Amino acid sequence: MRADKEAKGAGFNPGLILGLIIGSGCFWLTIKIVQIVSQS
Amino acid sequence: MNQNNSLWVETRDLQPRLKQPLQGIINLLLVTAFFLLVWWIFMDPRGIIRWYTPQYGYMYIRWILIAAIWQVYIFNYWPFKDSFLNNKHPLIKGLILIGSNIVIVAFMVWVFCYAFLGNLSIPYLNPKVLTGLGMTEFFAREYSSLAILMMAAIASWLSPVWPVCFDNHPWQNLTQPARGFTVWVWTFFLTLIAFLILMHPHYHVLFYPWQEYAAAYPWWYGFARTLSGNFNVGWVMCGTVSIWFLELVFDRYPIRLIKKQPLRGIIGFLFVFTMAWLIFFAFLFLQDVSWGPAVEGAKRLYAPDWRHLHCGELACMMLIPMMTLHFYFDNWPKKYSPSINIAIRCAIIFIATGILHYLYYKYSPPILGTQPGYSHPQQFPMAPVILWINMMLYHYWFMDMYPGKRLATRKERLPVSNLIAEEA
Amino acid sequence: MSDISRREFLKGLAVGGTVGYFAMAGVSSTVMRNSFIPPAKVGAVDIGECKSLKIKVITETSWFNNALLMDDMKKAGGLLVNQYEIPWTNKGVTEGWKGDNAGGYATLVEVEFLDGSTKKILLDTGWNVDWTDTCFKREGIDKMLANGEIDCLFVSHEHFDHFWGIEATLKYRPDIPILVPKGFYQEGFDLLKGANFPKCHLANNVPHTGPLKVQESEKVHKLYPGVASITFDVPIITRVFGEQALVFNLKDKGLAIVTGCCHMGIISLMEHVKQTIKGGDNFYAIQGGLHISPFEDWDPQYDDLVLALHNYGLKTMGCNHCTGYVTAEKFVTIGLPVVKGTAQHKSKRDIFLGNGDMMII
Repeated sequence: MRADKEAKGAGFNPGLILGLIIGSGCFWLTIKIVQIVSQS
Repeated sequence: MNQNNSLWVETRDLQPRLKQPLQGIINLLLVTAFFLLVWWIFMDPRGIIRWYTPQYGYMYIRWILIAAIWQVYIFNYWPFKDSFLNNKHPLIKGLILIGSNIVIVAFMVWVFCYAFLGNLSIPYLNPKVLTGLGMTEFFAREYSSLAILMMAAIASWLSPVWPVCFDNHPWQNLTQPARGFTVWVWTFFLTLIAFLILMHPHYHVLFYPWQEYAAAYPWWYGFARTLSGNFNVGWVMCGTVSIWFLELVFDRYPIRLIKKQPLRGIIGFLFVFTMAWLIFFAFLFLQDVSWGPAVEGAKRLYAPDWRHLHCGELACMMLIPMMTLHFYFDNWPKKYSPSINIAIRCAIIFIATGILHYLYYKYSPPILGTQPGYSHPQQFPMAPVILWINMMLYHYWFMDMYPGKRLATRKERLPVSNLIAEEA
Repeated sequence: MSDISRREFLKGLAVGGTVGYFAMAGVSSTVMRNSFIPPAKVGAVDIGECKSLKIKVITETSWFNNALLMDDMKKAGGLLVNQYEIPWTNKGVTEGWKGDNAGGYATLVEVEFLDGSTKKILLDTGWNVDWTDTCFKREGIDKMLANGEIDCLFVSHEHFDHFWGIEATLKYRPDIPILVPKGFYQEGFDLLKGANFPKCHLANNVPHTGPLKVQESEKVHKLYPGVASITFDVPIITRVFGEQALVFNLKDKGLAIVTGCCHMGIISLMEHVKQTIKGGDNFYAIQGGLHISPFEDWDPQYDDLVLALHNYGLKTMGCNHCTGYVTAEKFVTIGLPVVKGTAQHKSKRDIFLGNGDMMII
């Protein structure tokens, strides 16, 4: 059980990396929307 | 958590009268209608009293907010007892608590600022003193209103830090009113220090000739590219929004994972401070993206000081969806883990803020009597936004969200075993 | 290989998403900002050239008692109240014009072209009709209007002290071409057609019969060779919107700007000119109301302006009216090339280009 837990804890969470990418992308999208709206 | 530390507003049990989302929508519409009525009566330039001159009315709006925070978060409704809070009809309770709020506002403005500090210490806190020195009545009142409202704004950032981040440490074991007075004195002391450093230098350059002996030269000029205290107004506003983020959106997560005080408080404050600057920089950046970089010495959209102020205004707009979600829609969602709940709430708040921003600048001229345009030196979107927030707080804190919600009855509050014991 | 549950994955996604959003906000607004900010435009519109300018200040004393004017606004509900709803004090003002606090702003701009011909533009038309008419007669504007020597009336903006004296112009020339900025409210158009607004003591009994052009914003309007106007979308106190200014390209000198009130801000105006008009980075002169401390109020933002104005290389400046005496004093202290006036015909101080004064560029 402990070994299992350690094995789980030792791995990384791909959701975190994906989230970082999506989150950054969402802010980039925010900038784009602001640019488009301010120039319309 | 220490018993003394539980706020009545956190432990009360509100039961819905209607199902969501109908309950939230009806309540929100009612409070918005009330806000519009209050704006029309007291603030609207086409309305009855017309206090939005603009600083005079904005001053009262700011003080209502901090007075309510003091009543609820610092004094935990003292001197009103639990029996009053639990049993009085929400409309009557609301009237009495709102009345107390107005008394506090009047005291702080008219007695503490005008009569006491304005007469005995700092002339610009009393319009009559300024008029006596030769200033026109109008600007005397505007200048003093700006200073007084900034005192409230700084207090709105610093006062909640103690209950939210520090759990009132090290006074958590005191009962009311001792704890309330202690935390109030401490946080108001910090407020006055912050005011002297952040706003007082603005008054060095506000008067002619420059008040070189009475106030420091604005120390932020080199990096903020403006002598105006609007630089500090902007990031402090972001600070007040950050503390609300921590309290309402994040449910004090992840700070609440730190068990020991004062470590939790210090980390919490640093978290709020960092978030304030992050929001400030992000909004400065979005303005540069929209309108090009600010130009030193320019006015309106291109003025560095207006851009700083506008960061605060944009941040305050986030408070509307934040409070709407928390107060009117039970801080949805709650069923997932904290991080997922927070992520979804943030996404809703950011999108809703964008929509509110669009609607505000399109419809505020006919609805609020403002002038169209983003940058008007005599208009501050924070004024109507914070008045709207004040009405929400009155509704949530003082009136138990009547009529959409009601306080649970005694039977509903007691555990079943107690009820059985009582009936036996 | 790690065996991650769906729940943990979603939690990670949520944490990463939130942190990623805020982190990108921090990074893009600091280290990466230049890749997102649009580059500054360089002016490309060629407005031609002219030779010289004569600017005659007909009246710059928009009101005579500042405290009374501020009191009128305070009583009405402050700086955002509609100007047409304010009962402006028009009696019993000792330093006023026949007891009326209202004066007005009007300037005559005579431009000489490269071929030696000239045109005259009347910039604004005052407030108090009787005062404006008196000033017109003093400077011969009445005769110039009647003779058709003045090419057009250029109304900078709808403010009471720049536009409400319209009857004084129309009585001599009802069909004068009028240029107004985009943003005029209906009351302004009604006044031109002949209307009465008793609440604010305003009337025009001579309907305008000539051409009326609304100058749109976001454009450079070429009026004559070397002469253009630009309109700004600016919300202004007492419920006014929009202001336009004149830009002259003087051969071998540079650009000269003549404004009514410059509510958009001198530096904002100059930056806009830089980005729209060819040669826009070479400023020579500015003249007019510069709307910095019109009510002798102040804001540290105005000190920012005073300090920054040096960077624009102005060779000569004429300021008056809503510039404010405090501003003018600060300009002089800091060494800006302010042209002094003569403080006559009810202009109070020579630090302003006052009533009857002239500036030749």
